[in-house]
Amino acid sequence: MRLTKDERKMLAGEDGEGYRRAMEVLVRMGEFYDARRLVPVSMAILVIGYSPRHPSMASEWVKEIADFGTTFKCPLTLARLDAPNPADFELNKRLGAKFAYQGAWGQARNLFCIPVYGQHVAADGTAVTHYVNSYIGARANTEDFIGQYSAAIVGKTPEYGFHLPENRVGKTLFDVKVELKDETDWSALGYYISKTLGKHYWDVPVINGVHPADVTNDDLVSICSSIPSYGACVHSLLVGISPEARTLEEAFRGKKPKEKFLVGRKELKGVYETFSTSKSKPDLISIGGFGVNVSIETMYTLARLLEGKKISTEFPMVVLVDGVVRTVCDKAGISDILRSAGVKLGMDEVLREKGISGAQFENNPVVGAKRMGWNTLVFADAKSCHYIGQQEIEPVLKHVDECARIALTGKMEG
Amino acid sequence: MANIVLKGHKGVGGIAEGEALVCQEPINLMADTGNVWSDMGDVTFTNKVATPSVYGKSFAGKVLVFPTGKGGIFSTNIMMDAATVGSVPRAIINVMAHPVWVTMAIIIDIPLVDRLNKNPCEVIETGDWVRVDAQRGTVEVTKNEKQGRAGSEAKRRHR
Repeated sequence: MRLTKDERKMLAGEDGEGYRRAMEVLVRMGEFYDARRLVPVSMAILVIGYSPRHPSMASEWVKEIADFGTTFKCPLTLARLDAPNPADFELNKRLGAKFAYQGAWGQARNLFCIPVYGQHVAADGTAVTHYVNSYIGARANTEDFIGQYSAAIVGKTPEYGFHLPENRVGKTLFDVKVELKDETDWSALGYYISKTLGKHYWDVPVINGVHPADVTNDDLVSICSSIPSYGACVHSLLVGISPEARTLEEAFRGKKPKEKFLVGRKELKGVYETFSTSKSKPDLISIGGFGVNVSIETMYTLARLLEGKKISTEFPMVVLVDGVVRTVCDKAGISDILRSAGVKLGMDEVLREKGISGAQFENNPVVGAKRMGWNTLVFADAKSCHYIGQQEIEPVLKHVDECARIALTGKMEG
Repeated sequence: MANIVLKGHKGVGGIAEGEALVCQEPINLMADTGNVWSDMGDVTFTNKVATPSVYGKSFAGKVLVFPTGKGGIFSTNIMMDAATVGSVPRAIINVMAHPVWVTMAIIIDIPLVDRLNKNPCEVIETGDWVRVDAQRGTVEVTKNEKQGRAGSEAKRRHR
């Protein structure tokens, strides 16, 4: 990899040990993937992450870098406002981070957390990386906290993977011939694509057949969460909507797709059949789940369906709402409507009632379900169903209006 | 003496050897090793559905062979915490490495190699002795004779 004079100095430790450590990570990463150079990152999303240990080794690694007097060179660094570990907040402040609600993959719902077309970004997990690549046209690979912080400190990242234009071209075509009614349908489409593609990190599926007038930003967030279900696919192109795929020809840069798949009524229905149950009632209904937080649209839909009513007390219904959506719902009175109907806001409210505390895992339904011995969980998104299914718990996929009916009647429906 | 030598891309880290633990499925430590939340002893694969080929096994002290990492950015966090009690692999061999596992290998300082001339998940079996030289990008495999014989005898009986 070719380094500039300044980069070589930094690698030699002339700017201090914190910069040297970060630069070493980037250079070794770049050499591993045959990057030719480092490119400037305009934005870095920072998530130190969970750990059962306090202090975690992750926090320790960041703290050591901060203790050398290092500050971020990347112009926009966004750390979690609602980080589970309060010490991480101070740590990020010392490094010069700005703060934002991120919640569980909630960046896409904060406009100021969105990069600009063509920028290189040090991103976060698969859903966020997918969103910035596919629907913003910024360029990012999936990064753990080491990759995020190293790029934020140096202000650069090695140019490999989705930072390179040649890797961003469409490879496989998915022709959509079915109406996508809501976010649940979008997540089911994403899940179908994920399962069909298998486990290829570098695959770029192209989705054709959806009109821009029929799509909301929340739909895009939903599909970005579910396409990486099976593997780690973090770039797709939605023809007519993705900035790099204004037409089908542009999506493939004039080349032919490697493979073509049709997604019709049968294929979409198949996803719902994969996640179905013969039980007459679930143990929990969870709107939002494993790495999926709830949209404002879903909150309004639920409030409309449940206002002035009481849900069954046979089993709990929870909405895993956080970040900016939570703030808006609290102020707009939506949270009160749902609470009055008997809905719990956040997993901690469900567990507290059962006498269990575990605040740091509040929005992880797996931890809650395992502790409670729950076997059948209803979700309104396919990604949560996929993960829960892997944990030997039976997941059921339902639309939000169906979830509301199940909650009101206390009975599963066909 | 090694009976198979695989050649791949230059990796990260140096030289290490040990007994292989081969996982046929992509790994996300957050989803596939549930016990880390209760007990930080040996990190054990607890996901029967996602990683059945290594269910109930620990990667501590093994050379961990698997196709690639899944998304799971917190895999690094779990591995760093596991390192404090020495519960980490001696080396990692992938078909194609996911970026998260490359930074992880750099930070916990173990060798990682990938892009080998043969699929390591097919050539290497759990129990084989494996030597990884990441700078040369080579993997030397010494087949576990006892296991190999037992395996072929079982196959013959089956026929």
